[in-house]
Amino acid sequence: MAQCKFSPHEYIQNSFSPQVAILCSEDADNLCLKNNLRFVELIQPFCRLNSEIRIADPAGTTVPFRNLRVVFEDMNRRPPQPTLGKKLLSEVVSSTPWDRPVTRTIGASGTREALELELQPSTPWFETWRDTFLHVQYPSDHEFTKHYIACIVVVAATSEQPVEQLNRLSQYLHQQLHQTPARFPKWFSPNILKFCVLLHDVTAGDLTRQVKQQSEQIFEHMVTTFGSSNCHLLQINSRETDQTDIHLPDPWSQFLLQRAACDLSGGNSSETSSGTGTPREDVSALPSRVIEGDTMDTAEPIHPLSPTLPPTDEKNGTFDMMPGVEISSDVPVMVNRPSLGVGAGQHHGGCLTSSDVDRIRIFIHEFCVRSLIPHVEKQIRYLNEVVTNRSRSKSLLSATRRWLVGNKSPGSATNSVIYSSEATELQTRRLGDLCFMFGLYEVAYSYYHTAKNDFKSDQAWLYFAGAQEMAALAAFMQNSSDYPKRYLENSLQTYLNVCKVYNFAIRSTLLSTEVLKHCGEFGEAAMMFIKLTSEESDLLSALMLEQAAHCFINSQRPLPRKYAFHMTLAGHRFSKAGQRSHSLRAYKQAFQVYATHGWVLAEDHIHFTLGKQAHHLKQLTEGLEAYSKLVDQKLKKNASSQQSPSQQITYVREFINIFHQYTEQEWNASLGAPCLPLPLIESQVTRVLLGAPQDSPTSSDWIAASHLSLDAPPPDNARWFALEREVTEKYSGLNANTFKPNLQLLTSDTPNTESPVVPVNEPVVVEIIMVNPLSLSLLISDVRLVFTFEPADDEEPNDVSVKHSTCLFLH
Amino acid sequence: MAVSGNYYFAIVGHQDNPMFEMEFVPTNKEPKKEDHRHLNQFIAHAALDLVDESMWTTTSMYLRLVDKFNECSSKQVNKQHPSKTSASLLLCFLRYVSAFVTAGRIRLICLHDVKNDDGIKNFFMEMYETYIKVGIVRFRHSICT
Repeated sequence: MAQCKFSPHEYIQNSFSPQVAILCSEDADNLCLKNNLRFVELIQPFCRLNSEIRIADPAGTTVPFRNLRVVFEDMNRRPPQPTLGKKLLSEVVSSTPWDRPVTRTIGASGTREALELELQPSTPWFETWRDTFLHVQYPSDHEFTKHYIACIVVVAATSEQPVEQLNRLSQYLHQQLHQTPARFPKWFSPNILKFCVLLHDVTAGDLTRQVKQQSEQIFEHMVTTFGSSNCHLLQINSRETDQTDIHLPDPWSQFLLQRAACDLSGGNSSETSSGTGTPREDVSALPSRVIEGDTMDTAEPIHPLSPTLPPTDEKNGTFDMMPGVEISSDVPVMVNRPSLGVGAGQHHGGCLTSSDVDRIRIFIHEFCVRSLIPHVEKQIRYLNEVVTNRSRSKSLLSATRRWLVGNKSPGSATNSVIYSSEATELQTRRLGDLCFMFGLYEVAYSYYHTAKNDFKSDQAWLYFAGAQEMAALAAFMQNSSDYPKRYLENSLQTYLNVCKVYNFAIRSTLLSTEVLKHCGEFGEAAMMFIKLTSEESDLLSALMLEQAAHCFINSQRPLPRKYAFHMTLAGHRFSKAGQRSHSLRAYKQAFQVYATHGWVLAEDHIHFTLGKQAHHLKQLTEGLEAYSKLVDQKLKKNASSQQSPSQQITYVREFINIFHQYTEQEWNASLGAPCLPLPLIESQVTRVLLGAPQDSPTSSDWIAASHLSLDAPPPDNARWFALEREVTEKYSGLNANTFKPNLQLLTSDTPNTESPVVPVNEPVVVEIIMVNPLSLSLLISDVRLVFTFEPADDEEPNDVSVKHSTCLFLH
Repeated sequence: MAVSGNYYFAIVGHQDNPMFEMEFVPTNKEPKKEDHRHLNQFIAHAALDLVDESMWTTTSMYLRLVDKFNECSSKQVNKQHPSKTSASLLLCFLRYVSAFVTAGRIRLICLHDVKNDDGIKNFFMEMYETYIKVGIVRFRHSICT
């Protein structure tokens, strides 16, 4: 596969980052909105720790872990519906910018000569696609890597009753944690880390000392409720007003684009299904700078805690209702407020100074190191105890469970085995996931291995495949030269054939191919990619085929013909998926390998598709070039295979079509008439007759001196020239060597070195032989012979009638 | 259901150029396979890479099965644009690729959809002999004149 921005280890680590939920009050969000950012967006650029952290495994040894990345999500975010997800993926692929192609020399080998190919070294659209793909996946119940392990509650110090707000948010959180039918959001366990942030606006808060004291009081209250290591006072907005100072760096815009599309589409899906949620028009109606205290804005979305809403059943994307909760409507909870689109003129972080940015960075660091890591360590120890204790009494429990679930026939128990949330196997899986997400790969491997065996004996195939895959990945992350490869293949097989969960199969392929790429096994990686192509999803198949092509070209012994074939297939699928520019690019790059080798049908197919795509993308020059090559028979006359007449008709028709458009729109008229590749003109048999043939007068006594004509048998030039030479020698005594015959009919046999002289207003007849190489008849009409006048050195044409003239040609 | 005997045969020269191509379509099928003629060329060309790899593994000229192509689709021809060269109305397009390499590194490629080792081997030997005879004719003429 192509070079990627992240190494395989980094990519695997990024795919399984711990998820933290954010529950933000509206006042706090309004504070952040002064910067055109919501709180969730504000902290996005800082969620990767640059320093190394140390985390203790259950045995007590501390293990270093670099580049911890934590994913912060709004608690009420829902992944988009599948159709919207597909649209989003499609958009992402078409809008990612490309690098310039580079030229690479593929050495000669076997029967193949050396090739110089221009190809893309990296495929950034594939990387954004796979990131978006993972982002829009629904968290499943058989794994815990996408479940929230902590929740950060954010309140503003400058709101009216922050303590009450805090209590209400905590209550809401508590309810969300303990809903009996567990729905969205998905929590890692019932006791997650609860962290509280008090947002202090420096510009507004410093106005009165009273407010500052008040915020300190609130902070003390928070500390008593949550514990001192779980609270943080974050000061932002040190800059006075929203100055549009363009010299400030804007690290937020790159994160906003993707999130805006995701969250907005999540909102839209709920809108279509239940009527709640935010209509899309509100995005423009929201003011760019929100005044604090403006809580009764009519553009505010109807939040699910409003007591006037009827209860709705939560399906994918709608919101749950809490009919039993008595929360007054003047403390709205910020739910799924759409993030403001990344407009061209939008500036982010206008109220933040660099010290504010540093404070945010410190906040994240403190949260991770002081709060999250200790919590995780505690969880790991607790779960470890649970698991080791329970495993002693495991046999009784597992026998009971087997009896309760019923008989299982092999291969059919895909969904019939469901574990309760506290089951030992799931606790083991949780433990493995927690260790994996925080870099304890060795212990993670042992837990996954145990879980895998448990699931296998219970015949819970989806759980088994998940645990097996993670075991292999943990072994790889620990020691990349030695890992159980067959686990990954086996899991993929199980996902595809037994459980039929296509999305997990895709994710598994993406991870396995990264692993294989690291080990240099490009051939196997290519096979994995190809296995996943199917007729269902064109975009997916196109991307997989393209990556397979890159595998072929990047392998130790490059296979450029395979590369070209798979690029062609990828181009075909891209065009079916509506990605025209990608299709054009793929075909162009594939064509380099096929060019001028004589595979007429293959080349024609490529040219035809190139022409079509270029035509649609309004690149008329390229389209015309492609179609010209289709109808240009000069190169193809000697090839062994030819196109059928029906194909030729199509090609000629398309060619003429685009030719018309090209000449109307792009042809520069001052360059003269454009050159057509058809019909072929045999220039060697062109004849020019000076002076028109005249009808000889018919009289029985005389034989008229007939002028030369085109239809007459070719004159015996040798004899006539000899006669003329003798006469001129006798008459003017000129040297024989300087004799030039007087030519009336110029053909390929006559010496045509000098331009003939023709009196004005006398006709000149030109005979041109045209050849139609196609197997269909061409109708040619309206032919004109066009000439340009080149005056001799110092003469000017003072005669106006010397210009372009026309003559009709009859054949 | 037995798959019918579609065959495509090509002799590929040193510059990857097809010197000779021939298609065998069973007569009971209507000639609707216009759309796949180019696909045959693509598959044959792509298989050349694997021919290059496997020709070092054996001393015999006949290389048996070197590659396989399998694409399953069930789409229909677009009625408004019958000129579109896309897959049409087939369930599985399966082609095996067998190859034969001469001492002068001329490759004989055969695409087929039923495995027929002996038949194809004999076919290759006959084509090889014919190819040699055609090549010798030129020498004979230039020597005699």
